[in-house]
Amino acid sequence: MEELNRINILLIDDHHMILEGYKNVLSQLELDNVELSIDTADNCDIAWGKIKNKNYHIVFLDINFPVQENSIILSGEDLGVKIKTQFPKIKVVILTVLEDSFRLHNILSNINPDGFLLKGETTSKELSRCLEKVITAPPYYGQKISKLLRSEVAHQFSIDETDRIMLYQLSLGTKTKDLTKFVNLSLRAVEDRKKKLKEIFGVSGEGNKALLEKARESGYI
Amino acid sequence: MKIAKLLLLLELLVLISCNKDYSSSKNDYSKLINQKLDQVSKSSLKLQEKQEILQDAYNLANEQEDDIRNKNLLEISYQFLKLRDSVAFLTINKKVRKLSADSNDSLSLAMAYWDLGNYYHTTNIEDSAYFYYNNAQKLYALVGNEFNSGRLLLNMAMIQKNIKDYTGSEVTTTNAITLLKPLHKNKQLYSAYNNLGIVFNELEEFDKALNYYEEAQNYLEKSERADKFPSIWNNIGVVLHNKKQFDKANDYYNKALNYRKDLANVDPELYAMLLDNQAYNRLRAGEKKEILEQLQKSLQIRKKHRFIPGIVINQLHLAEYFIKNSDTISAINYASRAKELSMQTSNTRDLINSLIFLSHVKKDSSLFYTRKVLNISDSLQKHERAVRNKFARINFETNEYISETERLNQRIFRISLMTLGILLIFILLYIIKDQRSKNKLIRQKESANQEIYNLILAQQKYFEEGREKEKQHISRELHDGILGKLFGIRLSLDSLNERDEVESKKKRFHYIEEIQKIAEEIRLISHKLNKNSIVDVDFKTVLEELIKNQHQGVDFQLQMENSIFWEDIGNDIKINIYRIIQEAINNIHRHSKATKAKIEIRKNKKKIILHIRDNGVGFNSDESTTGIGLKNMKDRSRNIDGHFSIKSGPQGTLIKVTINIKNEK
Repeated sequence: MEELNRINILLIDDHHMILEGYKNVLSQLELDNVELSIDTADNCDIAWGKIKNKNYHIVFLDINFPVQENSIILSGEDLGVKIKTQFPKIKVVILTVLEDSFRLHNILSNINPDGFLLKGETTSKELSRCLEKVITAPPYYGQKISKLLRSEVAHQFSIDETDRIMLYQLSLGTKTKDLTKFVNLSLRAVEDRKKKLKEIFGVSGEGNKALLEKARESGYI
Repeated sequence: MKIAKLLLLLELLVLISCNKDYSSSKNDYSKLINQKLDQVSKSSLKLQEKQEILQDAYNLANEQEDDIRNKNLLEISYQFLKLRDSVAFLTINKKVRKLSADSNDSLSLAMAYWDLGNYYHTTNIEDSAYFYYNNAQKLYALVGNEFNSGRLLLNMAMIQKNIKDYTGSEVTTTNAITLLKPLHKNKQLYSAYNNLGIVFNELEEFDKALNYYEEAQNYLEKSERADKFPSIWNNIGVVLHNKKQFDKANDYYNKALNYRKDLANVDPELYAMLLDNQAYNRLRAGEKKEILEQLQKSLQIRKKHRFIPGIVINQLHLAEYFIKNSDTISAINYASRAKELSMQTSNTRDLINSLIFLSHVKKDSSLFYTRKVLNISDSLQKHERAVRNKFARINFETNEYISETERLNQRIFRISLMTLGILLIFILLYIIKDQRSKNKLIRQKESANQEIYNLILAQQKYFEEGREKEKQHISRELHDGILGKLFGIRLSLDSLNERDEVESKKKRFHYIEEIQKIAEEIRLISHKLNKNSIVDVDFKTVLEELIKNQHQGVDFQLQMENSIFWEDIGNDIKINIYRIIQEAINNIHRHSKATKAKIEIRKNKKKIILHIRDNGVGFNSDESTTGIGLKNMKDRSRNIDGHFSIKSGPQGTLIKVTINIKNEK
């Protein structure tokens, strides 16, 4: 008999109704030799505090949180990165309502989560299956995420820090030729990157405005 | 007698025929007058009859209108002059001068002066003649009639020659020549050169005199006045005689005498003169034959025709002849007669000549004659000098008058030019100023429009931003809130789906209630969306927002009548009201220490009344340091024809602005 007695899980979401739903699903789950201990947190700061104080095995993490005064960790993405760098053993499952593929891609590449589900497509069975998989053989990605991953591999695109800075500056109204002041690149390189970005966002041949609109839609700005 | 009767009959007929349409046409007068004038000039009536006819013509002419009357009167007066009726001539001439001066008829005036000059010239009153010629000449010169101007100058030159002002005469003649030469008036040019010849002969510059006579002959040939040849040959003869070229002189005299056989009849004066001159020339040349006879023949002709100056000269020549032939008594006799005659006619030159002759001949009374000569030549010199002075004065005064008139004319011209210029400058300045103020008005209106639009645009943008934020907020609420909750409920219900115990049923019911709550939430959001529909931004909203955005501890209140249609009020008024309120708000914040302020806008018939009241500490409105803010408000009120007043005291400040809007659309 294997001894995998106790698994500590932290559910992080700003909606109590969701936390309740998770709990309802998880409490009915019957796994061999496993006992689930479930905690909840409704914002990232509280969650981070709990993570530092207790040895969690799995964290269910939302991405969007309402911004409050004096909150330190603003988004689930930041928290996920923090967990992955400081507590690499903790398995992170992302549950989000986001549907934008760029954003999703970014989360994938930044956190490299052990589970990734979109709330819209998630049923109780899916959630249960996900937990089982994460315990035994991570990662588990939902259907849409898997599809996204496949297309990403084909496209080989990624938007790195430099691209984000460029997009941000462009959205402030900075001119392309002045971008060299903010990124350590030549004007030529900046132009090339911009061209690539336009390709990625599917607005090749269009102006900065179309690029920025797409980027804004995708949540990069 | 027969002829006279015939003429009388003719005149009667003319009168009758003219009586028929006496008043029908004014030309009839002129016809009648012309007929009468013809009668006078052609017929061989007696002097008195001619005078009567002329008097009739004069009466007729008086009935006529100005311009024709002047011409006819001039003609009539000229005929009177011909008849040597000086009284009638002078009367009519005076009348013509007055009429033509009154009607500015300078041509008739000039002709009248000319006639008058001629009259005085024939009566030997040379200074008056000169004066009137001069007047006539100036008039012709003014109207640019160079021919008549030249002719008159010639007349004047001859008068100057007669009074021995040779230099003056020379100058005047030269002036006349410069006028006449371009006109090719050969007859007048002949006279001019002839006059110069005489002048230089008198000045004893004989060669020059001969040259001029030569020139005179040239013109005479061109002028076809052949009858004048003997006269000029006589003059040339005199010069040659004076040069002591007696043979040559004799040739000219012969040529002149033989020019035409009837010379004695046609021109007895010249004929006698030629005879006298030739005989005297021969006497000087030392001949003796037939001289006495010739001199006496000449004297006879002259006595017959009463050519007094000629008679005197003839007598002096005879006296000289008798001296040469040692007949002293006859010589004294002729010389005395010459003396008497020249004294009678006050011909001083010949008087002196005769006196000198007598003083030589009558040795015993030589001193007496010499003294007399001295006296006479003395008074003669004085007289000549006086006359010359008089002429100089006439010339000077006319020149003075002309230059004065010219100067005045120039001054008037200059002044009117200057006035015109100044007037033009003023008109230009006025136009520029007008244009500028118009432009300024347009600019003001434009800037007012611009400002209002900017304000409204800013307000609109502000609202737009608010709406955008609201939209984002709703979107987030829907996405994160509602969707999240639904997701939670779905998960829970999903997990409870397969269970059937009481516990689970209860839980399900709980989630259905939750769904109801979500429905309520959605309803609220939907309501919010509805409420936040498009806000129409106008001046009223702009004002309301201005007041709403005032924080800093003063409680502002805006009370505005709803009956004001801001759309109908000009943008310049609106923008100025806005700025005045803005300025007032600034002042309240900065200086008043007020806690409450009320802004009231009312409409009263055609007026907009703005009151801004605060409960602050007030200020002394007399102080000059009330600042730019207050001045700005006043200026803005004035810009829109508004009345601005301010009351300030310890209880607060009240600003009142009343604006007329009746001129607005």
